[in-house]
Amino acid sequence: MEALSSLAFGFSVAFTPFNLALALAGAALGTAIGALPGIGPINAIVLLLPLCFSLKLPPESALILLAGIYYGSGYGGRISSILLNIPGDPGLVMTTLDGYPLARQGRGAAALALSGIGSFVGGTLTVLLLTFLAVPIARLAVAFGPAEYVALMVLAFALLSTMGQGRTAKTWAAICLGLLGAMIGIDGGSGVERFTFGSLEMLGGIDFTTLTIGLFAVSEILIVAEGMRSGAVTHLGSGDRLKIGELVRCLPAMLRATGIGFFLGVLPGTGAAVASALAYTAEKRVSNRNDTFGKGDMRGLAAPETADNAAQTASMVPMLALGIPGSGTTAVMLGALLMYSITPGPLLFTQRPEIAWGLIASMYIGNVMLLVLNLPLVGLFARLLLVPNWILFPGVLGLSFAGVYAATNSMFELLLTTGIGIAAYAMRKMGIPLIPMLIAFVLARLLEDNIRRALSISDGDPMALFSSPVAILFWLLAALTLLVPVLAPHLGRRIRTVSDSEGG
Amino acid sequence: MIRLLLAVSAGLALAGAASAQNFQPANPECIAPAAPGGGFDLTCRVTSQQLNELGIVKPTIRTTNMPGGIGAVAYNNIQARRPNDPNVIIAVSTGSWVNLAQGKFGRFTENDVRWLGAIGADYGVLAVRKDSPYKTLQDFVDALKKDPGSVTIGAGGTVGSQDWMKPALVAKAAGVDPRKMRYLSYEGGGEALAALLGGTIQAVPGDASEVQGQLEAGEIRVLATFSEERLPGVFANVPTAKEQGYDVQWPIVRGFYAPPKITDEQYAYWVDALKKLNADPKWQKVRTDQGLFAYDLVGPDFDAFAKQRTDAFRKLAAEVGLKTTGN
Amino acid sequence: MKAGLSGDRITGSLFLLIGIGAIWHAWSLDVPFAADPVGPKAFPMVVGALLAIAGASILLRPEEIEWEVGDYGRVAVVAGASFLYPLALEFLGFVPATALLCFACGKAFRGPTVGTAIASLALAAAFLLLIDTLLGLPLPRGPLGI
Repeated sequence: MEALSSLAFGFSVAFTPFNLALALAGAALGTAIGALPGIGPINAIVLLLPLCFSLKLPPESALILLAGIYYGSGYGGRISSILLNIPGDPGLVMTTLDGYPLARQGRGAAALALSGIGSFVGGTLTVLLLTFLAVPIARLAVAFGPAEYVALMVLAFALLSTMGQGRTAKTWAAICLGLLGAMIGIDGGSGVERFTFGSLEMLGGIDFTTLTIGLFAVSEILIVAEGMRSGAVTHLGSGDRLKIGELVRCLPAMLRATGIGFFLGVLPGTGAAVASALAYTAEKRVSNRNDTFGKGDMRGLAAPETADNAAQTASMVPMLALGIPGSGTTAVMLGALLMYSITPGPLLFTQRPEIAWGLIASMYIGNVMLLVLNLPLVGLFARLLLVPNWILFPGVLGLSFAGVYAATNSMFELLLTTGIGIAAYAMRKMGIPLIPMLIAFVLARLLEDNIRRALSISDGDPMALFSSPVAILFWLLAALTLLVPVLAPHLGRRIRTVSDSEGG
Repeated sequence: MIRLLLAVSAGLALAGAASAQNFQPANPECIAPAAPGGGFDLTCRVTSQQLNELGIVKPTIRTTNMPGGIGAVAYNNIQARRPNDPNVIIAVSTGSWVNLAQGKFGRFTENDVRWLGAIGADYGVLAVRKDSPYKTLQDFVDALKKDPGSVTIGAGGTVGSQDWMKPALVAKAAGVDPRKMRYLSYEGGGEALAALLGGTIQAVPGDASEVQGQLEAGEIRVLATFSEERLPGVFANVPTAKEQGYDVQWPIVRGFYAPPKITDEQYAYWVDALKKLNADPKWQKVRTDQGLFAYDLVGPDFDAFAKQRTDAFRKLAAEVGLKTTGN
Repeated sequence: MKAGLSGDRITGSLFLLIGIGAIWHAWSLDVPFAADPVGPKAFPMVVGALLAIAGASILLRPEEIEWEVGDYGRVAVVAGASFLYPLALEFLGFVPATALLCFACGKAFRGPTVGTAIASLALAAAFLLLIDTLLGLPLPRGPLGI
């Protein structure tokens, strides 16, 4: 096996004490930065880039450090998602759905441990796939055309529409609001400004992070302030660690989520937020027999966490194999390579194997390190909840605003965050679900742009949307998703009478 | 020869430096009018770091991100809040002028700031897949002439952006209505390149630096570079558009501007700093490593250039029926 | 407590209005030319129509909403402090503004006055150190230099 010997060579690069130390430093720093709301790995990477350069770090070492930050951040962000119901970035929104109920049941430490293990499984399996199949997979991914994207998006919306727990009309209203929100800004196909109302700040559209912080952090703090719903969980349940049986029960969910996360991560344009949302809704479809999802089901936590990390890792595939960035963060890492006079591209594996394989080997090591680093600390993280409410929530609010301001330097952006937060608070009071809105916002451009691209290529012939086997497969899956509940009403009704009620 | 010229200009710059010594910035700041990680961001961070490391600017320059409207928010913020702050420079590129010309910067025009200078340039190229039937720019133009809808062009910018302008200029030079071009807009250059390799689109009017890796690997063919002379390195065998009979040039100039009401002395300080930077061999290496080519245009020359380019873009946009300022 | 049917009626009519507004806005867009046969108008119009339908359905068939009794005074304090925060940031600088924000919210969360004041200052200073000094993302400094 050629890949095995190359990987062995990669490990010989990554296993030097210096590079190991860098991987550890990156993982720890990434965890810390991921825990800060509004500040993502991209900030840390951009800041460290000139530093690596002036410290004359060799390129493989620099890349090992930066990659450590990248996947470490995935581990840090879940702390506030699980313990406080406050996701710091869009990929972690689904984590709150079952993670927070678990924390309220006193299983915060167990939930953190499970999400760490899920991330490890997703990350490691993805690196394995990447090791052996990077180039053929990347080739398949770029062949994914507009028609296939459209069908995939339709499937995503079909799954999304089944997510809401209240009235269908309210879920659809939320989806529409998300779609409209994403249309704010300059339209690519015509250069026309839509919904900007002359505001220059709106030209570039609403920022993803601003939206997430407003929708979830600000509105959650307002909800807690209003009801004084004991935001902090009073008992830590530290004796109730994650049991082996619980973990085993989550393994199938993790495997499915790895598949979904890997697939969506490899595709250019989709990302961790889409991956975790689809992994959760798909898992709910498959396993939600007793209507336990959303009430602290371990599988509902394992699926999005696994998919999130799998997608993050998988977005490295097009970068390494083809030199094409699959996400914003990998684009910055490509920039890092350029600064070292290394042209990222298909030749990277043959011309500079120490960089390509050293990085891949360091991803195995980094995932193990993150698990070892994080598991013993879950009890400590869970103690965050012992901080009194009157310090904890103002602190989170202040930190969120500071993060938004630091990344944008804009008062407007702060006002927008608060405005979105208050609107989201009102929506929660009125029973409008926020998560379908956020996911619709993420998917909107992919859907609209690709429909328009497909119809542009076909000169307006809509049959082009059903032109390939892959597209047809997704259309069928979407139809199944929507029709199964209609065709099997008896089954659905029986399940519903067993569980006490909807919502939660 | 170029080195000699640079050495001479470095000498001149040093001579000119004495007059600008009176002003020293305090807490200097570089505004990247984009989110962390974008092109503007790297321009700011790398340039400031080099200005400090080479001892050209003594106090540490901090980078601030001010995303929004592809530079529009930063442009307006400077006008409204810091019109006479001598400690701030703001990154700019050819793409900003394209938007300025189309009124996407609000009520301000290219005459409302002081253009300091360029630090380098990337160049537009036209790339097709390795197995494409188009072997030369002429093949591409012939296909466009026969049926503009037969060639699907895709790039990272919107209609009216600089990625759209490049093929539009080619079409216009060939007598084809740019509005008839089949153009797909993508979220970024990377996505467009993926679509090219995957066969969704047939041509990418991208930038030299972003297609270099694919060209080296033989995955793509570059039909033309939109530069005045042939580009070095892997591009040495690629003819310019001008050589092939279509005088289309598209340098993506990266540089800086300063607030409108700084004094001439303060303006001279920053112009001088950029001059020294451009002349330093260490910077030249860093610039090349970033995928940028030399583009030493600073001070009043750069000011004239910025205004002339913006005006040309305004005319071009008006010709193809896009919204513009001043008409 | 139930909010009665008025909650759904207000939400429904609001969505109906936003939907119609979106259609109207898309209709009135001035498009010199579009590079694709769909153009920029179709999508907002379809989505606006969907939203209007969803809104009308909520308006015409309102349902009771479970409504927790809450202390809206506290919500108003947190929301108001958040709205004033950007202004304070501008004039006072990061540490005083953030300390004031945290103090107002801390009081809304029933913190003891002295303890909240100390905690707020400590938090604000810690954030400045963390984000500005350690991470190098500049935060605004006020007249006090912090």
